[in-house]
Amino acid sequence: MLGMFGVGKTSLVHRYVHGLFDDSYKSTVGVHILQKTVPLSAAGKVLNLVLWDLANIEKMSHAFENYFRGSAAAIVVFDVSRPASFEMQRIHLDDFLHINSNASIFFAANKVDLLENEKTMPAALVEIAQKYDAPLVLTSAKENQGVPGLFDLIAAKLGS
Amino acid sequence: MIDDRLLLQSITRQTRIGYLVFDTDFHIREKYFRFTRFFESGDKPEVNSDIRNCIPEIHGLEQVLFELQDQTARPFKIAQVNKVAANGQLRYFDLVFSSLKSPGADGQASYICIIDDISETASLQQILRQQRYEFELAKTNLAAKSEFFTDGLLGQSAAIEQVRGFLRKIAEHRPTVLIQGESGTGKSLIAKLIHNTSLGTKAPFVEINCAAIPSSLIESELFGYEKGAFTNAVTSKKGLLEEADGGTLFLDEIGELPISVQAKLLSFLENRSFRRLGCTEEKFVQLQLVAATNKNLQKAVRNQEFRQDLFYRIHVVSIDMPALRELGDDILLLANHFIRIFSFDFKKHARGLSKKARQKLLTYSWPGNVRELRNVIERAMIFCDSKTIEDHDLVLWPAAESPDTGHGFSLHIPDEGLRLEEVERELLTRALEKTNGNQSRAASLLGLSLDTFRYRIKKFDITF
Repeated sequence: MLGMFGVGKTSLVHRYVHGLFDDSYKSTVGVHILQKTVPLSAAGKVLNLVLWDLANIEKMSHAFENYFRGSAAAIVVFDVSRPASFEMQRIHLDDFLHINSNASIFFAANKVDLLENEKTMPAALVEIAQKYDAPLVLTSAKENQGVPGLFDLIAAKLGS
Repeated sequence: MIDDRLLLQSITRQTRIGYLVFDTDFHIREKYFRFTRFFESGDKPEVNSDIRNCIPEIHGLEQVLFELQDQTARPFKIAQVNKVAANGQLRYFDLVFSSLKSPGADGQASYICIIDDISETASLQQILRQQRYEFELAKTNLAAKSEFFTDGLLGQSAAIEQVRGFLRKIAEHRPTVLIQGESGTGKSLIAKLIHNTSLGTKAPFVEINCAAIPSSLIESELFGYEKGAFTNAVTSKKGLLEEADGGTLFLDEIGELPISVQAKLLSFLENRSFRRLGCTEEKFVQLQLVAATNKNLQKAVRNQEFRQDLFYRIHVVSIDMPALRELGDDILLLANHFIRIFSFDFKKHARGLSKKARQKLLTYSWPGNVRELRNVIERAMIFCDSKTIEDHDLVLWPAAESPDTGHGFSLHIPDEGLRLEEVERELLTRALEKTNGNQSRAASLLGLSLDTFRYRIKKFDITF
């Protein structure tokens, strides 16, 4: 999980794994690993998703490089109400792709509950998703909107 | 030569670290940990079990660990691993991985994972980071909010367009301006817009509410005083006119200005000079005067409460602020604007108004104007948990169903009834609004003693 502070990375993971949402903001330091077993087929095939909820990257380090190397996918989380942070997230993504160009990329446009409607989605976000040719999923951890869909999409991609 | 393991066990006994030894197949070969918090919420490490069951952080890092077998490789650290203990408490650990120089008994290479409980220092770091990030988020939210105010004046009605036209015309010439309108129509906002449009935000904008300052003090506040000018003048003090030099002086509720001060203000407007109290020296300042009132000043002139010459002097350009009830669909525009603001403030997800709610807002008389609309939306946002504000979320003051004409007081009890306490609270608030926060006058309006009034506003936690 990549993204600036306060975009809702931890909220998305907690919503998905535990089905919970906490309105209060608590910044993450370090890394929090959560796991979820996802059924892939009726035949009983499952995928063990190990989700790395990373703190906001203030400075790239060797440790982050190793985390990036070991990832099969990256979810870049944006807060749709903070367009000013989009560019910084794009830089983090470029850092990630520089180290691991094989990983699948997914964009989560989080906090869509703060938008009046989907038409008011910042155009810059759509452009970023198009540029990286990656899916953009509208999510709201608060209202559990798009959260199962996002992780199901990732599971389907990784399990295929 | 000291055995590595004996040394390690000796160290761990005296510190808060623990360790696990595992082979290249990730099977645990040896374990030693003095604390169990790390594993409280997950699988406990057992010899021969896969270490990844109890330390899932290793998933995906297998290649990194293999590379540790290179004797020149530096130990690999996963810093500040978050673990939620069984009691729900969040704890932090550092995991440091290294290859062991001496292979196990079976000759297989092995690794060691040292686990260090760093909860105390990491918790402090979390607190500091939290403060910094919250500050940054608050700044971002504020910036987002200010975007709503870029135009400064919301509305598309003809009345608002006319006000905009006035603002554009006067920006260049900076004349003395009188803003008239009912309470809550946004006179202060217009004064600031006049200032910002012609001078920008860096020049001083000095505001004084003439009704909020005791008449005995207002002269010294405006014109300043010299040391010894009166009993308590222990030092000299600049007046607001001097503070506003190069900018704008906004006199709100100018109709409440004492007659004696009116004469001195008129003199200043004529000559652009004045004297501080207790001083003979003339001071010259350059400022734009903007005055506002909800009083009928012509009537005040007739009643000899306001000087006619001052009235004509400040009436160079007059802007009449329309009442909210005259703005038609702008009411909904403003309501949606406040909904967005309070969505940020209260972290709510209401995004609009139902059809019935819109109708209710459009047919109400809004005696308190925009200020009342803001309060109504604020209250609705506090109690509304859905995406749409319904008509029942909008609590309008029953007595104000008919505009207050100033000739009496009517009270309408709706079919669904009302709470007496709410009416009392509303009356107290409205009295304060009507008197711009002057508690003595508000108490007088309601026929209460000042003590009783204060007791009641304290009881209802009303602030103004």
